[in-house]
Amino acid sequence: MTTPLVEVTDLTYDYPGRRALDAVSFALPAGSITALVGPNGAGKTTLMRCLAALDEPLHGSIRLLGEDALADPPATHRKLGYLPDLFGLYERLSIQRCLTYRAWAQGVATDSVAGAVTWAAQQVGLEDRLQEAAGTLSRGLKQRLAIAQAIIHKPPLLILDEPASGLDPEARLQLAQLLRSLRDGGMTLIVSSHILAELEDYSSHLMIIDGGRLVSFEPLTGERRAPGGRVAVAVRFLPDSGDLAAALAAAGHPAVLVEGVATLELPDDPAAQAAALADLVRAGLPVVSFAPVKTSLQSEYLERVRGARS
Amino acid sequence: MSFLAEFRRNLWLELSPQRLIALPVIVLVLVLLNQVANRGNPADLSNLGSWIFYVMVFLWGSRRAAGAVSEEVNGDTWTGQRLSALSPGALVFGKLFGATAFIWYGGLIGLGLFAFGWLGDGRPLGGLLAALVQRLASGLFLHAVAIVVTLVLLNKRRLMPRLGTTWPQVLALLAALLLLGLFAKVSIFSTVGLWNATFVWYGQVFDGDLFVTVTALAFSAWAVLACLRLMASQLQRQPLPWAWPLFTLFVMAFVQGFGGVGGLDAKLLGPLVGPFGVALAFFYVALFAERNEPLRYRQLFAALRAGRPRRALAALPWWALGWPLLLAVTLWRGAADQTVGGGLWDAVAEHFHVAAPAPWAASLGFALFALRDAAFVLWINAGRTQRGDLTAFLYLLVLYGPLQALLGGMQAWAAIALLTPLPLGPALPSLLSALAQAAVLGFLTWRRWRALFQP
Repeated sequence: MTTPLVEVTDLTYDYPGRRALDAVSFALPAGSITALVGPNGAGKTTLMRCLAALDEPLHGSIRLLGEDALADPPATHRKLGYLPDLFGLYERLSIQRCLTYRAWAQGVATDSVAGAVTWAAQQVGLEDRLQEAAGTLSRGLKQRLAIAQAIIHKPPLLILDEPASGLDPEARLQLAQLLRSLRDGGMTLIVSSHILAELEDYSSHLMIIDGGRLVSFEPLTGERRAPGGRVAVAVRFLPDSGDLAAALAAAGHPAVLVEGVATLELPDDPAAQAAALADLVRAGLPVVSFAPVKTSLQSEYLERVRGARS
Repeated sequence: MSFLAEFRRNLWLELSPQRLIALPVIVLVLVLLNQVANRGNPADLSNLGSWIFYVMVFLWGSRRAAGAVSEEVNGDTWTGQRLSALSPGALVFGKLFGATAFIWYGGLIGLGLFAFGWLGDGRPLGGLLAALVQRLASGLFLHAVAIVVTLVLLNKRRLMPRLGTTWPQVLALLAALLLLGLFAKVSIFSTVGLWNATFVWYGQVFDGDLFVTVTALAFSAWAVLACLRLMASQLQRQPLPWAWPLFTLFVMAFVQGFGGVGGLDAKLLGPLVGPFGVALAFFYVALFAERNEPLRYRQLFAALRAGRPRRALAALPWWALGWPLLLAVTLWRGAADQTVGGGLWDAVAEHFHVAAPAPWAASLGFALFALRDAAFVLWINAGRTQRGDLTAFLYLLVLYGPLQALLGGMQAWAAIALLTPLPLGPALPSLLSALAQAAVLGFLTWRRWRALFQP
């Protein structure tokens, strides 16, 4: 069991006339990349701003590295990096000066500032452009500079709100690589985005929020889940193999067949799945393939949200 | 380095070599023009230096100071600053002196010319020193007030999509005019001001230059303190709200020092700037300067319920801290007599042929109706999600303006006494009416809050 980096309990936040977060609780494992998804107005940005100790919730607690994040917001700010959806840069300053200012502002020791600037620029691939003015950069490069500013003090937690918005496909690919490398470097990330296919590339966890409520927060395995923690497994048989449905039932695994493929709901346990396959083979069923049903983040998200709403 | 981070960033942006060279060149051209036009008269050089200082530091500087915060907000860099490890002091210092670095560069050139002309004119060195300190303190006061107003507007930002610099600049200039225009010998104000060679304060006679200099420095210090407290609040430091009541007390004590003894024109200003007037004005400023939406009060109650007294204290509204001061000053007969019984109300009562109430009753009426107004503002805010303060302000404006005038025209003195604190009717029903209205509005507000807060 990985130690949680962030523990959120009963987090509640109100805007005038509406509840933005309603008793949200979760524990974020260290070293994870969590995809935070939900419809517009679901409360994603509010959740991220609360986690960043920028806004004070009405109720609830947030513990970052075991300490109360809301008791001392300035101390919390030193432990995290946050890139808001709408971010600004000092466009008339060079990249080097932008990063130097941010290093000073984040309390990086004076003799470490130059090293921190170089490290952050290297992380985002801007080390060859340090003298260019921030205002002259493309949207993708500005995004990289903003991320470099957010990580210059090497925080354990990095929160990114819609980091891919407005980026072209190549820049998105580079962003995904960057986020993976930051995770590999020991950071824990929370990334909100509406582009689910892209989140799928690098996320280890999926957090769905809707109407201010946490719908689900689970590791992202890519396998379709059935109720009760079971996984869906697709079994393909040789064509024209007789009454497969009856044979499956006789083998103790009743299932509906669609075009020669049966979907079994099995425990999320490799040994149990191997035993089920052995049952089918012992029963003489002509198994061609036996594999978990893969699902896209998009379909998983839609399924969860619809399930929660119904 | 982190203390100077914001200051240095501003220097990077403000002090380009081109600007540093261009400004003295422009000033040199102006000086040459002045010399040609006035045949080298030192007094004219001194005046030119003064005007360069006023334009740079007062006009342009107040705009730059306001922009030091609003540009961050509008440029979406404010969140980054709030997330930084910078202290409120580092941010205020950086913005107050860094964002205005070029302004001060030009202002100091102007002051240099002013001093050169002054000495060339053979005027005393002591007077020059006072004039320089007055100008520098006035500039600092103006810039700090511009930042204060911007931070206050930022706190109420839901009212406006973008944070401008015009309102902070205008309000800062008005504050400077109000404070310095009344006292200062600074030539831009002296024609409208009340400059005296000496000031009588708490019965002591003070040299005019010294008094104005110390006054300007004291109010500048208060303005910088206000910047620090508001910035701390923006940085989620949750400062305890002691500064506002202390500042109210300071200004009350400051104006009480004049006491109608002769420093100021008592007939003109006595009723307006006495301690009671200050407490009353500051109460309404506090009421409308802060957010009055229900959520803000819910945070306060949540902190109380959670047993977090420090957090609850930090969430106390300024008006609630100012009201006891207002009440106290009404019970302090000397101040009330001086203000409300200072002749103004007697004159009003005589004009309308009605009996003026006792000064204490009149001033207590103001305090109770102020409480009624606060309850009214909260009640309006509890029923609206937007523009609650503006709506309440307009209603109160109608009540105290056209409605009162209409009732006055109808000679309905009793109705006026029941609705407003203008002391033109029997005192007791007026006081009871104010209390009853405050209680009813308080109850209605509580009901609206309860309905809103129910899960």
